[in-house]
Amino acid sequence: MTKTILKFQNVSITYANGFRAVRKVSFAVRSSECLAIVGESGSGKTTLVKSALGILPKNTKVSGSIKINETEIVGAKEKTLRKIRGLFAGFVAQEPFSAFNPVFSVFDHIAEAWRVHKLQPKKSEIFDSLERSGIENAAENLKKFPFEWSGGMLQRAGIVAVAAHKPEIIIADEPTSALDADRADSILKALRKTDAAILLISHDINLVQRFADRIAVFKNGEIVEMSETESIFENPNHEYTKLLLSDNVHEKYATDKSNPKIILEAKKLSKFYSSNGNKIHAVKRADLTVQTGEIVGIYGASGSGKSTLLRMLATIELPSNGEIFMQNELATSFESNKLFFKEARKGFVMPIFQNPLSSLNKNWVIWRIITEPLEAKHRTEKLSKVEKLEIARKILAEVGLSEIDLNTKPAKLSVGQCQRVSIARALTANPKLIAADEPTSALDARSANIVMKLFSKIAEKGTAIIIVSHNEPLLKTYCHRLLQMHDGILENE
Amino acid sequence: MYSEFFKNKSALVGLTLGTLLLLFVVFVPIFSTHYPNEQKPSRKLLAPSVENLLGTDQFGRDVLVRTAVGGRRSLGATLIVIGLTLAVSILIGISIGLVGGIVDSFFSRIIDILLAVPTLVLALAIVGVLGVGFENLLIALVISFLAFYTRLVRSYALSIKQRPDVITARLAGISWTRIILTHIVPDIFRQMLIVATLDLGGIIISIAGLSFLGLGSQPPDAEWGAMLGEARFYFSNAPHLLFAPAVAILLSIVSANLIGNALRDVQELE
Repeated sequence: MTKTILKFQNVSITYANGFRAVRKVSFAVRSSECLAIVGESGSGKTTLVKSALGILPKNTKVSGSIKINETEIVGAKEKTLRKIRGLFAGFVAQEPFSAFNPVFSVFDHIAEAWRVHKLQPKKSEIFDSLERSGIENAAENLKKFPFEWSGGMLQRAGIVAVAAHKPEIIIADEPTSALDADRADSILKALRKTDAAILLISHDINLVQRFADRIAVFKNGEIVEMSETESIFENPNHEYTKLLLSDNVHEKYATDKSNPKIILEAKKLSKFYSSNGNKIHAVKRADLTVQTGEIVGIYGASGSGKSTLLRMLATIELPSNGEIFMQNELATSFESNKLFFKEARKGFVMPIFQNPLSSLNKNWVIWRIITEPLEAKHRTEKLSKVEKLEIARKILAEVGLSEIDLNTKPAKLSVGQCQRVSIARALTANPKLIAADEPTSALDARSANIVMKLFSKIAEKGTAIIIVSHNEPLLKTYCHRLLQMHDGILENE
Repeated sequence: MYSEFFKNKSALVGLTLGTLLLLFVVFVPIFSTHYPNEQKPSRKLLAPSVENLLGTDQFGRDVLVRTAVGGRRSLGATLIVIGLTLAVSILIGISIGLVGGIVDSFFSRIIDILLAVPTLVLALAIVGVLGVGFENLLIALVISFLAFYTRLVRSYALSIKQRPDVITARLAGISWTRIILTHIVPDIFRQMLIVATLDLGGIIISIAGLSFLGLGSQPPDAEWGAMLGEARFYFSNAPHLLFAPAVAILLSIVSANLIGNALRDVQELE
């Protein structure tokens, strides 16, 4: 009989502000099995993970029982929890660049897995583990800092650190959301090679189908269905499970472009950075034209230069070489640090960022965030608060958020709702071009589809949209044109 | 944030202590029948009694009323130092953080030089140049703390400048003035308020310490540090002279630290 490594029994979790994030959840993870928990953003998955590791905020009430290897976690002292963390239970974070301390080398970070338990780090073991996970020249690369590694490489290094003491269970919270499909697969393969039991939190249904033995579907803090992976996909019982699976099916979404004009043209763009006297080419060559009402998708692996290209197209960064024309006027040129096209600072191009929560001012209420573009200095009309509230209400209705309280702050909204608020803010500026960098990577499948359909609606009205993403299937469904970024070069499909 | 702050136990204890201290320094001199500088040689070095609740000092002056009046000077000076330091550091720090380039490099090197010298030593040196006196002491302390605060504000400004919501505002056409006033200053002020509150204790000690050395308040003005300085000569036969200012300093520091910790905890929760 297989051993139970992690057991949740009737666990309910209520935050200090009274919000009940998890309601009477019970499940067990057996040795060597992978249990995936899937669900929408804000359903309570991350709260569950944090409770298993005893890292919930102070004053959070946890009832029920959580056991790792027969050790009770609920109410355990910090001394007991420290003996569990790293040795019996490992954790892989979502965002590798946030999980690694930028002032320490990658080697120091991995070695910390030994040092915190007063053990000597084994250099040869670290080098071998990294080479086995596909990182070449491990000894040289380990001396570098995290920002010199790609996200995929860093995530693999994180797994080496986590697996240092061969923990019985590894808890991975969205370990692949920041990675493209190929890298995501290699990360999950690396995790499964460790032979530990895995509790995998993910909103990527496809990934979960390939790697999990069992799936628990999470909604509003409860498990609505739990079964073997094959059974969930072939014969889902709960309505919500059926909805989640149907959101994953991408049928071509037809949009119409009429009277197209060229809104943006980029010629021979490139961008390099200097580091320790070396030139790092983030973008080697990119030529691109975008028409009004067109949705252009750019996909590629992590580190291929997609985001750098988008930042140049949005005039957030200046190119090292090449020129950008907007509405047939020169906007940027490598010959000058100046921005020639003044309209680029009048809402001509508006950005949508990957992390919706950090792209909104957390201290502002929603209506103020959405109507901020109306305060631009080129707008001579001064609007009253009542007028701004009315505009905010209309725009929120356009993005499907008419039920939101205008005086709410972003922290009270889900990640998907925050992304729609970002889009609403962009629409207020009445842009000719929207530059979206991984706008759906932090979202579950439902929210991702809602956001992409919103982009299609916006494009129908004439706004051009450039979307950078590693989610090729999603881009194929919604984009008029798809381009690939490979090793700094933009290739036509 | 504020509703969470008032629910925090540390905040409640800190605010209660702080309020009691404030009431003490404001109302005791008003209602007392003694004057802080009134000398009564026949009543010198008396132990606490009904007539003089905290006893009398070497000149027969009432210790209770001098502690209260001294508190006005000590606490008032602390708030002036922290207020001026915050204002100037926010002005300079944001300016150099946003302008960047050679201006940033130049001011950063000056900050580096000032930071190389311990705060109290720097304050001593500045008082040495300006001359002894309470006002000069405050100027010296503002200059001493300015380097650290400006460095901190500069780094906050640099990071806020790169934030997605600020980039979005810029692309939408919002002017830098408006971005500074609506995004940068409020966020920096929130962060620096926590730092300043946690530093209040240190500033009280600095003022008391330099006054203890005779570099701040001059006789006959009452001030906690100066009172401690005078009391050390009479410790063997009048130990009560030390207790009042020492306890007052202790309670001020505890109150400030509790409030600062509570602000930090509440911010982390957010």
